[in-house]
Amino acid sequence: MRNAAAFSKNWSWRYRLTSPWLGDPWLLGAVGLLLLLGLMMALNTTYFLSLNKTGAPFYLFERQLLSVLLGLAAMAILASLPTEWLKQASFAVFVCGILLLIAVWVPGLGVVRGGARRWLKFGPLTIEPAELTKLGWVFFLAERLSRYQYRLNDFRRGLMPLLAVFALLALITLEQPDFGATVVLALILLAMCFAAGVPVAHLGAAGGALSLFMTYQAFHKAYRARRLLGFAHPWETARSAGFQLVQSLIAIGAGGKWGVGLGAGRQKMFYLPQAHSDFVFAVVGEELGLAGVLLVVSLFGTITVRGMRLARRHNDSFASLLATGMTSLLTFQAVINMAVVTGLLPTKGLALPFLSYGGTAMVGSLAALGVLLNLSRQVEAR
Amino acid sequence: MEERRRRIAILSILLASLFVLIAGRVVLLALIDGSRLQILAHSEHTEKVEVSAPRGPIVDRNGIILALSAPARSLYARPRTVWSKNRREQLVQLARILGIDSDKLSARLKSKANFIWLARQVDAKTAWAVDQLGLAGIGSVNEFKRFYPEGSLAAAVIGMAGTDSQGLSGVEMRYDRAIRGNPLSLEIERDALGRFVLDSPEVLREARPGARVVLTLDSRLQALVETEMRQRVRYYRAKRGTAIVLDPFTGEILAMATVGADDSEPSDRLHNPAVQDVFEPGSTIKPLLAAIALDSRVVTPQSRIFCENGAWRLGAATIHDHGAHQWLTLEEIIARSSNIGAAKIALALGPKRVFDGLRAFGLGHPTGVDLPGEAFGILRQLQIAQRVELANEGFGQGLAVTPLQLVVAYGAIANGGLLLRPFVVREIYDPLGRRIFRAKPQIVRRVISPTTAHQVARLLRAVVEDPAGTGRLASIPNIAIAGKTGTAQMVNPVTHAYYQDRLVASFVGIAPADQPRLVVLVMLEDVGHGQFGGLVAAPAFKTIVASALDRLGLPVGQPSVTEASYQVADLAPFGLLLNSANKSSALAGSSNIRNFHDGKPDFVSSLEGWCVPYFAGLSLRHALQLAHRLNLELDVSGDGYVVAQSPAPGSPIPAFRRIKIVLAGSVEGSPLHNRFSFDRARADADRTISRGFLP
Repeated sequence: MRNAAAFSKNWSWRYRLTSPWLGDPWLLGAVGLLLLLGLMMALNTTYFLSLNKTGAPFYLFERQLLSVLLGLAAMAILASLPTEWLKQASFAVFVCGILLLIAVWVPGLGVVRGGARRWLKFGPLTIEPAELTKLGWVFFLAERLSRYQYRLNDFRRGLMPLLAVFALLALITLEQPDFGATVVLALILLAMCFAAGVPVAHLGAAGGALSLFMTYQAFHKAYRARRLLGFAHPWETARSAGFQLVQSLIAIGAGGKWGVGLGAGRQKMFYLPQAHSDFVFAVVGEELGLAGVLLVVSLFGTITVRGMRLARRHNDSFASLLATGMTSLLTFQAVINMAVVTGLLPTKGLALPFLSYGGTAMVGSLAALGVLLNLSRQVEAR
Repeated sequence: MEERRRRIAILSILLASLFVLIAGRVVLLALIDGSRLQILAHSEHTEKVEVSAPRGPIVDRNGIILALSAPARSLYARPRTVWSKNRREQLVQLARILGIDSDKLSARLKSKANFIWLARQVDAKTAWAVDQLGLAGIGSVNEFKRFYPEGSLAAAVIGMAGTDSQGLSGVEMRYDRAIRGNPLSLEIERDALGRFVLDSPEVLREARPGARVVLTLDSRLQALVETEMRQRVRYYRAKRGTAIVLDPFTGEILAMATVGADDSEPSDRLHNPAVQDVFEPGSTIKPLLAAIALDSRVVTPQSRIFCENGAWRLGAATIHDHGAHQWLTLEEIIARSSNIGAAKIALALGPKRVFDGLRAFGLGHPTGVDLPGEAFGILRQLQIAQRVELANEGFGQGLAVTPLQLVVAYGAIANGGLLLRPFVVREIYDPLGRRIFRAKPQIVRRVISPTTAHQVARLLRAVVEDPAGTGRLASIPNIAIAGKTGTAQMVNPVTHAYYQDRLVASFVGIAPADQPRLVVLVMLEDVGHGQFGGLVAAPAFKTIVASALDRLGLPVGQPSVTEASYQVADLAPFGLLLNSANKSSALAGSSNIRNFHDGKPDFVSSLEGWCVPYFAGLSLRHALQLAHRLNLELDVSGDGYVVAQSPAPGSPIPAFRRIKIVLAGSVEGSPLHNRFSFDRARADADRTISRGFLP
């Protein structure tokens, strides 16, 4: 009898929701919904593009489906590995990330698209190593910050070395160029250092220096200055620099409260450039309206809140900082992307996690989620 | 560790607040700017497309089709798609089908435009061949092509319509709004590359096919007039000839033609000299002057005027007559066309009465005919001191009129003194067959009293009947003719002097003089020395009047032996137009003018088998049936509906009984049934639009 009662209690709804095997159901649920929506969007936004480019309407969708499956595999692996392994592997992961990042200059491997050298080509597979470097950066920072926690109050031995490594990363990513990646790496650095206990004064100084540097970078390159112009005056430059933003705003506005209906959007028909990748959020706005947009925002909000909850609940500083980093990674990418699409920030070239078309970003985001699930399993199991 | 928890809590609030920021921004965008952005999106995503409606047919008073629109296919290209999706060899093939140089085709396809026409209104075979090529970015739409089944018949009156269904001249232009109808106006969604999206287009405005316009012209009379004038022009080596037949009691123009010397040169559809060009009327002005003089009692029919033995010095000028006359009555002055007599009458009237009188006859002012581009003519107000100029005006020099002005002025003499507004459109019917317009005779003013008109008409009979009259050649046995000859010297445009050997010969007359039905003007320009109006124009007048009266159902007496040969040769195709029914009613003494105007087309049955029938508008099957019944053979080209035939309807049946017909507009349903064929065209347009969608 007692066993039966325990059995029924063990298999209760609550038990299954907080199963140590599955991890945080909120995280899983939010990402699951985003993935579903993302696949619908990919089908819907790449249809005409594929048809135009290859004649096969599902070509790009099939590739995206493959990326999702790969990403889910990566997620499952990362979620099931012992956390200690992650800690031990973090430095190696980071070095691998940097090497991949540099590999884009290897002749025969690197691919240049639209003036940017960001991709590696292995046979039929094209990957964007910066997406993986971001993960490595989080691992590296979590490991360093937790190991050298005792000397974080000392600027020269605490923040300085990390800033030096960042400078190296920034050099590489700006050379590619991938300004968006530089910004995300910098924000992750600041967020994780803040969480780890680096004095606010140090962070303020570093942050000030970084923003000056970024501002210089933004005006330094002609195409970035053009993007800034399009951002500052989208309607005046609606036929040139502001074109993409204007089309994006039109898409969101055209959706109204409830949207024109899934699949019924017009902006993806070559009005809105990059409708399937960086500007998929605008298509969500057009087709699902304000309701759809707020749903997406709240799903990402859920990921952020649940991820930070994990960070708070872990006593182990590595796990806590890893959770902070992964959550920040997903949050910053999502927020910056949505801010760009809604005209709050100038165009960066950042994908929206789980929704945008793009293989490496999808795998990277799902891997980050895998790490969070891994950490949540320990919390739930405790 | 507590410090870390605190910091992580702060960080999570910071991160979460970012989402609130985004949410706020989106809410503002969707709710505040939403309606503005929605309008922008709509205007960006949709395109207005017009599918032209068929122009209405133009028919003569008996329902014979003179202009009609039949469906035709037009080929277009979207240059960007053409270049990106096709191989070069395919374009070479396309050029071969279109019959143009492939380099030229490439040059046209280099256009930066989103849409260009490749070929407008091609025949079905070409369109089919291009469709078979299956080139991306090349498509066809249904349009309507304008056909003139009777060829050049009444070309200047009908005018022409352009490729985009716009009236350019003549009735086509003047009544363009009614004939054109409304195009179907659609709003179609398209993608950013200009391709149409599948969704069925929204109809902004339903189309209305053009209205059917009924002319006052009688095409058989018109054909007769044109044939007669062409023969005269050739025979006398004139530059061109103009003739107008007017109903003086209604203002209806029954025929109006200008023909050039060369039959092969394309008929001029853009220019109508009968209303747009002016000429010096010469002696044909004298009856108008006589009417003014009689009406103002300056002279009486019995007045005698001394004609100075053929030469009269007036100031520095000398006025000559053709013969040396002494004392002539008014009748004799008109009959013998004495310039001196006419000059003296003009001087007796004085410049004001001459000007006012001629102005009242409508000279120097447009007649108000419903044709575009009408000329004013030239009529000066002279001073009392300008005696020579006034004398010259007396015999038609120093002023200019359009042929139509002159005919209308004579119409006032014929109808008892009323100046009417001439017109060429009787009725207009909307596509459902309801009459939406009917022309009514419009009186402009009373010019002279009925008595005066009657007196002048009697004077004009003398021109034809008097043994010394200048218009004897216009006489028709058993029919009283009143008319006036005119021979004016042409003006050298360089020196402004009169040519001695280049003349404008004319004759304007009323028939029958005792019971006027018609006013006819015949004018031959640039005939040589000695070719006087009475010699050159009067016989043409006679032929036209004789046939026209036939058409009216008035008995025409047996022509004299000498005339017979000429007349029979001339009228062979048209003699068959005589209608026994009409003839008998006329013989029964019907003098009702309305009888003519209410005449219904009845020639088909009575003429069948005797002359080439009328094929226009028939489908191939019906044309073959008709040919079979009449034992004719057909040479067929094209498909669709008959739009041209040779020989023309009404011609005698040719040797071997072979008739050539040309068909066009291969869409089922008669093009004459606007509504039906239009629905077909619209369905076709819908299909075309959906075909425009990729792939």
